[in-house]
Amino acid sequence: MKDDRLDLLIHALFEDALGDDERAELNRLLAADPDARARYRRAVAVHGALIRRSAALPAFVDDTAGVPGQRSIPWKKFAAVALIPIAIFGFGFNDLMAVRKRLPQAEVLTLTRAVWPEGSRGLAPGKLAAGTLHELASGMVEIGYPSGARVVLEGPCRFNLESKEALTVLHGRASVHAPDGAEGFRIDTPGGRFIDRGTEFGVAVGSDGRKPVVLTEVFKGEIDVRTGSASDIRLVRGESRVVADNGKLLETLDESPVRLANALHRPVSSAASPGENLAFGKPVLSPGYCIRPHGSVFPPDNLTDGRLDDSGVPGDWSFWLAPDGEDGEFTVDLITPTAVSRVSLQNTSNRTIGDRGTAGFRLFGSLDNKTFLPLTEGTLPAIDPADYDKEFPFHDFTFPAVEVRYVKLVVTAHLRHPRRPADHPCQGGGLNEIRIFER
Amino acid sequence: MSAEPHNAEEMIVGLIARHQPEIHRYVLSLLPDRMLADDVVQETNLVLWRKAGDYDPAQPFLPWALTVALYQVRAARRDAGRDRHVFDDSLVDLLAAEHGAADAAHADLERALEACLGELPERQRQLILARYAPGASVQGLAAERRQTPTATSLALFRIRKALERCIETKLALP
Repeated sequence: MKDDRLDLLIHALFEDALGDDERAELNRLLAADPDARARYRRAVAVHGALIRRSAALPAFVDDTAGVPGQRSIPWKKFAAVALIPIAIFGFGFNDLMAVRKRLPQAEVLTLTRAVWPEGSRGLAPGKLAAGTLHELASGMVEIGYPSGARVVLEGPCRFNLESKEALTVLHGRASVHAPDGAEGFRIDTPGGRFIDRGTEFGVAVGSDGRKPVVLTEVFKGEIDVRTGSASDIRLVRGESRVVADNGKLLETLDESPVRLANALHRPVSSAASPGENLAFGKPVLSPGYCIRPHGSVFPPDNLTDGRLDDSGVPGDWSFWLAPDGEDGEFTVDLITPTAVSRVSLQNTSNRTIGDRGTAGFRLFGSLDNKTFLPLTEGTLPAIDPADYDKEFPFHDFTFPAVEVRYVKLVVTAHLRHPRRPADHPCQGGGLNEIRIFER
Repeated sequence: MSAEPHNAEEMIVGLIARHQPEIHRYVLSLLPDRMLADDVVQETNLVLWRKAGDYDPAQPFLPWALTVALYQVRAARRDAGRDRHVFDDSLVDLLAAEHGAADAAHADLERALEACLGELPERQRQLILARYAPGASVQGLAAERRQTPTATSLALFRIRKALERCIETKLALP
């Protein structure tokens, strides 16, 4: 009997047991008959009431109230304001729970050498407050969602949990793993929306100084990219794009396909060296540095910022590059005369492009930034492509202790792309980090 | 004690809380995927709250809220991918257009449900409530009851129909 068939299909729908043929049949029956649609609505009303009645989901707990220096917290505010009408109008507890149970839920799973800006309380493992802008200075934060999706954020990063199964990244890098059942998880950025279709993917959210520039790469599976200008673009494993110039999708950055490290499988660099790094945070001067479109700028201050392994995002990369075609040089100002006897250098691959870096160098020291005496010289190997997803190595060079304020490194030979012509402009010196030690 | 909300935001929060059942029912009818529907209700709550300043208190709240919800349903369908679509676009539009005052007026539905659950035989009552408990499955319930999944599913089908008939009768009473 037709009526029974409709009831059975609706029942199968509620039980998640509707096959493709049954789904099509249910669509046909409902589309053809207003009475069938009325019956469906009555059934779904009871189904929905039973779902709401069973709403024993744990309420989201906002435990980060009072974090100074952060903007207003919409959902915290929402929850707080929600108490007022309950008191005034006498709403029941179930009404409050009905609202609260739908608040975003996510959890900070792990923190790895996470450093938060001064004045910020930071995050601890546990529930993540929704609607709060978080700023991670360095290290990593791993966030888990009820669907099983995981996101690893790399500092420096600014992010915000706006809604369930989604994360807004305003600046910085994020790597996403969405297992079966978590399809649809998304990362929202100023440049566009990245929707998981069962995969692992990464985004790096930066800027060219005026407009957002976002890099994305699919490590496994597929994603959809929505920039607002056209229909979604599907990317599959190994594909990458640059979102720039008001939503355009570009296949290359600085003439090469973009590659991102998958932070889900790469630990935060622990390449520490014994002793105090005298260069950390010190100013660095350079006659020039590489400036190219889409936030590909590489000033010398990157050499002493403590960020390693070609990390960073457009407009805020972690490494220094000399101008196109030049070996380049830079000088670290230690501020006060200090005895030094060792430097430790980490090369760059220019974001896995492999077209720039330092092959040979000479090191000089000075007390007045005018007269320099030679300290040492050496060579650096290129970053092995097999190590692109690992920590990049540091190379130590020692010399007799000498008191200096200025340490100058002059690149004497630079790396270039092995398959490009010798006169290709995209080549030159570069370095990720310099560390300077007393011993 | 003042009985008036202090501002538009407080008023809108009150209205959102009061109309959660209607918003949820409406969204679920268009998007019969529980997780997706939950997400959409949540997004709808956020949008309504953010747009508190746009709401004209002289106008009824629910039609405005359901319009916002419909936009969120469409966005969710766009995001979720076709494999999670149960209904065709045209059917969603039809269901949305027909969702009228009669559906929204079922304010006593929850109360009727409680009464009808109370009238069910205890085993049936326990079974239907267990089915809606978080993480429950027909297979799990069948194993607990030493039944086949088909038998359990059929029992649930009959209980749902009994509840529908009971609620319909109670809501039809003056």
